[in-house]
Amino acid sequence: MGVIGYGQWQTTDKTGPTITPTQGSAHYQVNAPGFASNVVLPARGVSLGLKYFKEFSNRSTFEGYTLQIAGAVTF
Amino acid sequence: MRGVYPTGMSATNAGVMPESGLTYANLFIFNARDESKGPDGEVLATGTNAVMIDLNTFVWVSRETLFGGARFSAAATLLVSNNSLASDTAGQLSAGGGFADFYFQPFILGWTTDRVAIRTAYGVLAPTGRFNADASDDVGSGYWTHAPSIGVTLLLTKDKTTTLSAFYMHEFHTDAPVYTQDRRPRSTTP
Repeated sequence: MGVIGYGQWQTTDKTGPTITPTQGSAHYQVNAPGFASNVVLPARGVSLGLKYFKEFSNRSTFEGYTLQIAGAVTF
Repeated sequence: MRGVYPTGMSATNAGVMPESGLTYANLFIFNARDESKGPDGEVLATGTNAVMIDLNTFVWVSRETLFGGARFSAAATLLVSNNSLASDTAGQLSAGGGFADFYFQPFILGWTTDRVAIRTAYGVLAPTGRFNADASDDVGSGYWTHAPSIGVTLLLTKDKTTTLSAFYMHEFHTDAPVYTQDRRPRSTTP
């Protein structure tokens, strides 16, 4: 179990025939702390995980939360 | 609009390669957003944006090592997506579901020692999902994405139960196709 997070930053302008200069220069920015829990069963080659993130102070994009459920098996 | 990488996907064990052999991994992601933010963080609109993505990934990892003890790996991911966007003022704006874009990582190298694991990869997202700039039921991005990445995991304890991970990916996007009124794609050159 532990603390996690992600950030995402647009670094170049968006371009396209229908994109205005204002839209193109509005770089998005995303910030999200969260928590995670992982269980690993090495003998069985199995891992399970759960992650939750809550975004804040985003720019030029949507804002909300993310829930992720993961599982993996090695043959 | 955002990049195509599902944010947070590699937040844990970012530098860790699976064991040698074939691994199947399933990741279910549910994104829920209720505000649209402007350039200064102001709320431009409220509504409901829900995106569900199921990533089915097949990873192959070599048993032999290359230079520096690196193991070679490749991965392919089939994405199934369902999305919906509704505005509190304008109502339902878009919704779509089905097979989305195809993510392929043909070149992955991973180094693992007792206390650190590093994973570098080149990935490409092929625009195989349904996309039409004029439609409201898209499930694909409509453009190619090239995505080099690196992940590092520090194993803070000998039993590997406490770790610290960092992951960086940079996306390079091609232009999305532009459609004429009869829906045939035309050049994207401005």
